Amino acid sequence: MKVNRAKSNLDLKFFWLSIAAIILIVAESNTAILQNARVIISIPLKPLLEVAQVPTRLGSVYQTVFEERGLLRKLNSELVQENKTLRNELINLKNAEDRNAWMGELLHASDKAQIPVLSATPTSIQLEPLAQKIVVDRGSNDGVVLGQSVIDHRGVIGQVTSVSMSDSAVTLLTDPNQSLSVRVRRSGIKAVVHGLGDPNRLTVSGLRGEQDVKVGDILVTTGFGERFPAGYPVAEVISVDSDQNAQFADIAAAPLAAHDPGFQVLLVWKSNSVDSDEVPVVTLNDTSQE
Amino acid sequence: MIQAKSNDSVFARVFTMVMSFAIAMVLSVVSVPDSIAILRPDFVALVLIFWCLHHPGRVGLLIAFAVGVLLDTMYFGALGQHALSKLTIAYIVIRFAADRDKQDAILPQSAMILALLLLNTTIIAVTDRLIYGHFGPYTLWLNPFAGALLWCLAAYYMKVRLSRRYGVYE
Repeated sequence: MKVNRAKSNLDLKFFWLSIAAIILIVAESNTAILQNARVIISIPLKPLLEVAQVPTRLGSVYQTVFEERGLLRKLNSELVQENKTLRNELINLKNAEDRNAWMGELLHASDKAQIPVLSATPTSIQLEPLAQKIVVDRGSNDGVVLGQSVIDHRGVIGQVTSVSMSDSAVTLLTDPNQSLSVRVRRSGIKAVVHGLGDPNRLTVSGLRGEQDVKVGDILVTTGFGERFPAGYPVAEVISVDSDQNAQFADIAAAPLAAHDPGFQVLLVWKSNSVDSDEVPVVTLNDTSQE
Repeated sequence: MIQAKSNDSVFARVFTMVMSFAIAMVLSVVSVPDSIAILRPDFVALVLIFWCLHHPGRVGLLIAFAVGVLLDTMYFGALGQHALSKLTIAYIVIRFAADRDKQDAILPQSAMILALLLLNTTIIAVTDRLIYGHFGPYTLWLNPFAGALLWCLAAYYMKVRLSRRYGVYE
């Protein structure tokens, strides 16, 4: 009798707890109300995550201490060279910016002011294998919010989809659920890129083929939704497969962002200073981003 | 069969259990090359099954649920995913396998572990599908096998060690 009662207690407990888990899942997938709970739960996990990063840190200390100096020297000279080139380009860019501002004034366009950014380092915490997410070492303590865009020195990485106290998770552009409205830099034609779950490949929709896009074209952000700053590089077109009968071509692109571990990334806040009504962008097919 | 010493202090018991879960959690996020990561077993599930199998009175469903929520937070996944999967395997072990399977031979027991770990992965994949609209990567299905293999090796090692220490020969 006693055993039976213990068992039925167990069954009941299982029933209620699984209901609780299902409620959590439903709440999580439809709303953001559990965001604060996540921040609180992450507090006791902080020491564990610190311990989990020790091996990687030791590895990098080993590397910096014992790695050949020649490598560092070579790297240094490369960086000096790159710096020179970039400085040159910067001067050209400044000129272009001035000209652009002048033309923008002619068009009554409100140029985007300084965009607030914060640098972050990807941590060595590994999520489930091959997940299209990375973790960075900034969290709600640093003012990170859901939906922030994340970029690096080469291009767009993705957006913040989950925030805890001192870390946050960034879902990469290559995640199957991500899509982003872009523009072909050469022609200005708009399109949408979608993730496929493949870290080196994106698909592009909304372009007709050779007349719109060529292999090697760079796709840049449009700035719709103001999640990403406009004009930032996203991907490079690697193949255009146009069918005479089909309206749109099959286009593949490679994301430009580098995912080297230890590289700095930038978290970008939506700039409040820009009122979307003032931006005189007129499009025929408004492909707003997700 | 070797009985656990009953004169352990409560503190020692709780400490051992907390540490075992903490170590399992660290092992499940520590960074390793991708080729190894796809073979990484679900250490937390293994530890949970171990406790539920050998001390069903100490680790209950509530602890399984709490550990699952912590895991969800750690993985930045949807809250409730691992909670549901860990809760389910703990329930099955406590309800149907605890006490009975203690004397089981290593291979049948490892087969049971494989089934439990596959269920664990199934729950996560199905909830992934419901929440994100796609199943997780197919490599997800490798880790139950790695887990069962690890269990098998660990059980064999423990059997050899314990029988040597206590002079029990089978």
